Amino acid sequence: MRNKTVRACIFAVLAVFLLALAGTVLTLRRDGGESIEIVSDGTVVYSGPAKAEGEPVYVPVQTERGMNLVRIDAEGVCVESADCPGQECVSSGYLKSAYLPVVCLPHRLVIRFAKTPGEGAPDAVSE
Amino acid sequence: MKLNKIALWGMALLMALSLSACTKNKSETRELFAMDTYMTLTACGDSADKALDDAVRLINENDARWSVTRPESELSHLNAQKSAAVSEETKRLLGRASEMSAFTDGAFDPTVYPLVKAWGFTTGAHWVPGDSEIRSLLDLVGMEKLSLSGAEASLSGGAQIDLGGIAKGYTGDMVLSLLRKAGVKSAIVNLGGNVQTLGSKPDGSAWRIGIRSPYGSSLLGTVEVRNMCVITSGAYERSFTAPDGTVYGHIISPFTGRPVQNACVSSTVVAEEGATADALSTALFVMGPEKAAEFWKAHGGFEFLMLDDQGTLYVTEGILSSFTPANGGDVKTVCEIKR
Repeated sequence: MRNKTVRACIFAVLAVFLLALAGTVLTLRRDGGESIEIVSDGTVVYSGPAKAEGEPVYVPVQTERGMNLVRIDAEGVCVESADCPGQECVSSGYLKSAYLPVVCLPHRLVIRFAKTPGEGAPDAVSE
Repeated sequence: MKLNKIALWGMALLMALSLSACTKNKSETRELFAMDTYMTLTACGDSADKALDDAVRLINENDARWSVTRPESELSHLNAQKSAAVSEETKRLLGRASEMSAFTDGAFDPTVYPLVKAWGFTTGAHWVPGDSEIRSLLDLVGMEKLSLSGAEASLSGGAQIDLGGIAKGYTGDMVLSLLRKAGVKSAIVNLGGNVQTLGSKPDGSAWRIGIRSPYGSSLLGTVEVRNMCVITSGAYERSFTAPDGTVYGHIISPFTGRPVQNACVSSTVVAEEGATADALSTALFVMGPEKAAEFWKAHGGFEFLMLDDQGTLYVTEGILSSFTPANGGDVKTVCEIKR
């Protein structure tokens, strides 16, 4: 009887450990490309799917620094228009990689994939 | 029975070890906009939280000192008044910039700033200045026009200075020094594409740093480094097309007063010190592939990777074994540079 209890305990501990291990591996292996975050001056103002089938989804981000209109469509996410001087966020086009976010410097806006880049992805990109 | 007990304790120990490893490798990240760019700082360890807050403060202080777009900065005062009291940090950075200019025989020269303005790269209102304007502005270029005396810096002959080509690398050095003193052993900072690393990753492996292709958001490849900086200069980000169809990049040659027009399209320097790597990445871009290789052979102390307009990536021998080209990328040939 006592042996059975001990065995049950060992199995329970093992099961918890293996589940935690599997969860960790799955999290680390997840590929960055399913959902995005729009971050305005350090605050996440929108998170959702990286693509929208059918009609595009428009997310206006208006702050005291200016306005960016973010579009999410079947191809991905991009800045449709902005009233910043350089328009670099607009000319960046669609968000393509987990390590190179779309950035609007004057408006302090960042659009990035929400999840951890997949295994083998670089830790940073020199550009 | 005894075996069962041992197994039970073994399991408990395994779980405790896993948990302690997680705590030890706990990483903290800060994001900020400063120095006209977007930055991320990540550090691991118990002291990371406070150390990163201090690092953010340090970066903002440096931005306030060295921005040429903020009229109240020390550098703006120096440019406007030709002589200004400067802080010890600004004095050190100006001295470092002078050293790097001398080291590169003027290929890195922060006094090229009036020409950068004349070509419209500071405002985005680009245009091609006339030959006579370029000639007269070239007279203002040269780090010998800067003098430092006591707590004062002076610029002679109408010269102006922009430390944008070295300030981020120098700031990265200060940040890593601060983190190191706080007891952080593993950190990576990305100051607008200037990547600087402290130690190795928490699991002991090397940091993998991608090098962006000048032709899009893909990578040329990755380098694996520990305790090193990887800093890239390319003319692809802030270029413009003139009415005659010529494409001009934002890196101005201090020798011609015009945007650099040589075979180099991207230059990456790997070095221990950020200020060195930052200044050298620009200087090597100005030199072009052949002169850059000669310079490296003559001086050493750093490694570099340079992509030319034919798709050849020149890689110095010291970094070649740590470099992995991207599959199907923009690199057609990898050419090793040996001493």
